[in-house]
Amino acid sequence: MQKQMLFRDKLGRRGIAAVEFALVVPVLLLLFMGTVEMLTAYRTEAKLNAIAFNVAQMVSLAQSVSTANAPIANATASTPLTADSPIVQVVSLNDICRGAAMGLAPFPPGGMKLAIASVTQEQGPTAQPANGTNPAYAASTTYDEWESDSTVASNGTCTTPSPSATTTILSGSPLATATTGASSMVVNPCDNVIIVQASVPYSGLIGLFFKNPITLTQTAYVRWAYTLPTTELQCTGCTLVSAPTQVCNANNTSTN
Amino acid sequence: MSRFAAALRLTGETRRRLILAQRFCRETRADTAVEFAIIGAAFFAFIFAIFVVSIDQFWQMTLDDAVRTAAREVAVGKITTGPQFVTYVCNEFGVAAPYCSSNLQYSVQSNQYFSAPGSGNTITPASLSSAGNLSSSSTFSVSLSTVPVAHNSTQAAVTGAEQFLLVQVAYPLPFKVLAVPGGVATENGTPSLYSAVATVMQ
Repeated sequence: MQKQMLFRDKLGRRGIAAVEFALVVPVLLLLFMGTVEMLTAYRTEAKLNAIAFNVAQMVSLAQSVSTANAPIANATASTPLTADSPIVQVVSLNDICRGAAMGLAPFPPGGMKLAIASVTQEQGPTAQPANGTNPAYAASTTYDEWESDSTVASNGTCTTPSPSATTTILSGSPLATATTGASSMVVNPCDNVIIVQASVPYSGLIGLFFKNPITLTQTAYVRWAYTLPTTELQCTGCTLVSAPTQVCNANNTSTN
Repeated sequence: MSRFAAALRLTGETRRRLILAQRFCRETRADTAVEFAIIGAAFFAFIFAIFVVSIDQFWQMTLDDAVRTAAREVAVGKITTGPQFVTYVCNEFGVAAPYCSSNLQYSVQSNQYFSAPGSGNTITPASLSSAGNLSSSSTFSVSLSTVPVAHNSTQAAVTGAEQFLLVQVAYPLPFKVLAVPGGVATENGTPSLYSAVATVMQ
């Protein structure tokens, strides 16, 4: 009897390490893949953050923008930056979007959405002197707004509908964001803020298990580089909301 | 001991072999060593995978950061030549990764458009081959955006052109073992780390 138990014990201990290993491996593997997954998601998000800021810089340094594909012929003073400006360089938002797709490498750009919006105050209560003779003065603020949303295909090409098919940043009708969130950045007449929101679907390893990938989104805010009391960043082909009174461009007429 | 053999009514050589086989199956002295040989291989492969992915990802993030700051230096006009660019990147990245200055491939270009087919003023991005090489390496061709110039003594007139900047960097891994299997650890399918920045010249 004694001998039999010992015998059984010896047999029973066989393969115990293999069984333990088999129990532990799924947990370890999950931990490892989870770590890689989070790291990759973080890298994608950091990249997207840099892209949002870089795109905002590109728009910030543009003298005028358009939804048309590059190359765009520069415009001659139809929407002058200053009274003396003979030629305005028109930058393509579609081209900027293609640049953003290049900047996302090595991550696949397919499905990336790039929303670019600008909010400019036309009239407001902070204008001095605060009276009816000042064209920039009004008791309640009015804004010029435009937005253009581009989508990126998996081969890195962009589609920029004109007017924009969606308005991600300036939501509602008429585009109402200016009177809420962004207004804190645009306090005086002819102040401007450029808002860039970049988002990309992140599938990663969990994309193998879940059909709907999570979407990473990053937003950047900058001011236009050439803001003056007589200048305004204008977009040709964007979805527009124009204030009734125009005071921020050289001839006070073009409404966007 | 030989009840099984007896039950099967085996005799002679076959019987002797069966008894030996039974004895072998009961033998447990080297079990642990054999098990370790099997499980240990899998376990160390696992540890090695963690090691490879960790070092690749650490280098990738360091490279991303180094290239991002170098691109900024290019954009503001502080870096004006290819060797300066390599030195700047390797000052940060080379601390972590070996052979930075000799392995680093770069393409730094600025132009009026990122992608304008039919226009001469367009950036032609380098492509990354499956072997992990940039199609046109050691390219450094940038110019600053033309700044607004004074039109008359009192007012600036904007007449310049905005220049976009595309920086691409590939770093072939110095030890091929770090690129296994098939560029999975680098997450771009090649045995090189790759980083790109698209921005605008100031």
